[in-house]
Amino acid sequence: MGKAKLQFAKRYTFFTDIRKNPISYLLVLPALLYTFVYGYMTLPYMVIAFQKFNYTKGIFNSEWVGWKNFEFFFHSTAATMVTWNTIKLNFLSILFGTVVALLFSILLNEIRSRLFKRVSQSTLLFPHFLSWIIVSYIVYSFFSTEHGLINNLLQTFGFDPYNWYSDPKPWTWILVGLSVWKETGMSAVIYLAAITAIDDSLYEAAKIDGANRWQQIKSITIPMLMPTLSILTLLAIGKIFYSDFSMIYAIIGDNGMLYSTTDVIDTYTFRTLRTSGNPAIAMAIGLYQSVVGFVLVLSANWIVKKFNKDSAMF
Amino acid sequence: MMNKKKLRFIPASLVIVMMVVLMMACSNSGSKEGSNGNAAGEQGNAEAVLPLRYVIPGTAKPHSDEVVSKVNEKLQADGVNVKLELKYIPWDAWDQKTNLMLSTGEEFEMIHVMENGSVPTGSYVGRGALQPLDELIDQYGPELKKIIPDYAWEAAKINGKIYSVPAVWRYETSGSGEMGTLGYRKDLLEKVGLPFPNTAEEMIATAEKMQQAAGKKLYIQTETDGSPVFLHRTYEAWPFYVDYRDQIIKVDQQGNVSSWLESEEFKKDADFFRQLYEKKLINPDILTYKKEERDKAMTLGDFIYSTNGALYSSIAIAKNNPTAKIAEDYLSAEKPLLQYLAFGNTNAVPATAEHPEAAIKFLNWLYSNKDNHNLFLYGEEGTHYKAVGERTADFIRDANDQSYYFDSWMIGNINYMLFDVKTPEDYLKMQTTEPTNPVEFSPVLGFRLNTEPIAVEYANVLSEVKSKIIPIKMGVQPYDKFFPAALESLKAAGLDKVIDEYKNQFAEFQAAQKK
Repeated sequence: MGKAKLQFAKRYTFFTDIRKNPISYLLVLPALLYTFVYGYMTLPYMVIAFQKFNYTKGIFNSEWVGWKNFEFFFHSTAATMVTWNTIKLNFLSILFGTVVALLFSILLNEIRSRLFKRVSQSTLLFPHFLSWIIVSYIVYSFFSTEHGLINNLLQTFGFDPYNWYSDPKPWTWILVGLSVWKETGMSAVIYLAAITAIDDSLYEAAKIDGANRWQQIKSITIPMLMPTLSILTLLAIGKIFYSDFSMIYAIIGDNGMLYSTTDVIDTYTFRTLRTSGNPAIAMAIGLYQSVVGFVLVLSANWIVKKFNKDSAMF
Repeated sequence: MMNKKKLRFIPASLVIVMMVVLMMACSNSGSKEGSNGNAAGEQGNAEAVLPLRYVIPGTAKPHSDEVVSKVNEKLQADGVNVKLELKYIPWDAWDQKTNLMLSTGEEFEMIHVMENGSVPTGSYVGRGALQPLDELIDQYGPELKKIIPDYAWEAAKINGKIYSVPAVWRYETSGSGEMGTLGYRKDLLEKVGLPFPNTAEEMIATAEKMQQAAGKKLYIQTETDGSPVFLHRTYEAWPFYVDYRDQIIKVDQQGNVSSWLESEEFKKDADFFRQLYEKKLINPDILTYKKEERDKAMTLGDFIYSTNGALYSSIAIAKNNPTAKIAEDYLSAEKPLLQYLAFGNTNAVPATAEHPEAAIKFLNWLYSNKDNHNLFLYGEEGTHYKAVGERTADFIRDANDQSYYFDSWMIGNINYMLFDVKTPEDYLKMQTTEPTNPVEFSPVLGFRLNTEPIAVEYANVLSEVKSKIIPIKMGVQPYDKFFPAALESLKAAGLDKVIDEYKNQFAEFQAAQKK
């Protein structure tokens, strides 16, 4: 009897883990439920991408139309443009976002004054909590032709004011800049947490060997951050086909002049479907985004695996 | 190793368990509802109280709950077994949320539909989202037939069936963007000593002078997604119809359908707006300028002309900017108005409603007399408003300076409506008396394009219009330089097919009308 009990206790199962850390699991529960309901329960609805969906008939009785719903997007003249814009804006945001966040997390880590560290960290984090609608008004107050801060500045220095909202060229960089500005704080916090987790003895050893600050960063901090960095980047690449709709819609809105550099798959779909209101086409495009995103994650993961097996997600 | 393998199965089995539990929960609630319904049915025969969930855009007004419960008391007292419940959906989420509610089969009994908005009744019917109401109206709506005029019923029909109950809350030909009404700052026009313009050139000339006289940079307030009917009145071809929001189709009074964007008149529009843009008579950021900012400018009286009329904001202007005097008029005033909408607002019943009769019973009660109508729209007399004279009332403000009202443009009736006692005289007159301007009816009155057979092309054309045409139409890009390329992409998106489909459906509609 005693022996059997011992054996049972030895088998450390998932359920014993739950019993041991009930509160931790309770904390995960809402997220788990959310993912389950919105991530898994909705999967069967994907079938409407291949149907001529009729509200009254529902998903079981609507007429099957095959690939017809995909035609809307792929036949449009804008398909290549919006696909390219989506990838371009996201790629640039991921690239600059990662570099800037990494830079700031290392800089923050080097700060010794606790107060200054706290203040600067909070300041960095603050934009993350602003809604894009609010940001869009801030942007407008910067770039508006008449009372915009930038045009006022240009005029003070004797330049002509510029009609920002009718030239698509600068908007790629304005949007990338905004997304970096808004999200740097959050990513920096994650990297900072990873840095704090690095074993102090490594730095001590390096110091004994006479490594200076820069050498410590280069040879310890950055390599130790690689796993975190690759996971975050992988996650970002998986979403490279999804743009930050709320950002682009709030800032660009219905201004057709700027679409050539800023219109992305999400805004394009939203705009065209707002009037036609056809959920089947929306689902078709969503499916397209998911499939490509999935392929991209797999290939990015495969590349990571080639270079560093431990940093890959699966 | 073994343990690890087993561990992997656990999340999967957990997911399955959760799925089963959730499904059970779902089906449980379903059967519960069913049994509840049965129980109620057994209890009081036909007297079970039917819910009337009314889905409307916007946010709840102060004291809304109070008034709704008063309405429900009165409904009970009058023997109408319906219980009203308002479901507000914020404006910015309206299209998406209602689409979602309809497509997922969420149950509600009545929805507000804006005929001049982005999703008119025809579009809902095309998706199978609404149910026909003919029999229900015959059975439960005797008062509806009396108070709503025949022309409105005729226009509420799609494929020969009535799909909604029109809200006749205004004279359709009174001032609006669709009618081509120009609102203007009368005080500024008087200041520069000029008469109200008759032609487009005169309008520009007065606008320039008025802008100087204002002493502050005021603009002509206009919207990008509306056809400039005020300007069309000055053309030789007037009257002709252009689809107000989408701006793709032109239909003349003989019923000839053509491509609006390829017309001579569209070029004239673009050239006119180019002048406005270059002379800085419209906001230089017109393409980005948000609706809220335009609304704010209107309530402050900050405009020289407004292409949507202006009297509608005269109450706010009287308060915010007492020196500003507002009036409305028409370019080429001697020409007739063109009416192409029978009504702008209407209430429909979704296909998912199990008790559609609730909606008709409620509307029948609402329109059966002034008391019921005003109780819902303005609250309880003495508590929420005090009647002053025939058509005006003093809406009582609470401690937060707010008063109750339900937006009359959704469900009000012109015969019963009350107006704020502070309403400037001009505006009150506009609302309570039928305009005397001569009116011609467009042959499209009552016609609705079913976009379903051309859904792909239509959506793509609209998208091209937004991105390539609107900048030209608003004068930000010159027509001569940019239009050829824009037209090419419109053709590639399927413009011709859209126009052909319109032609065909319109010909069918006309043939059916002649019968």
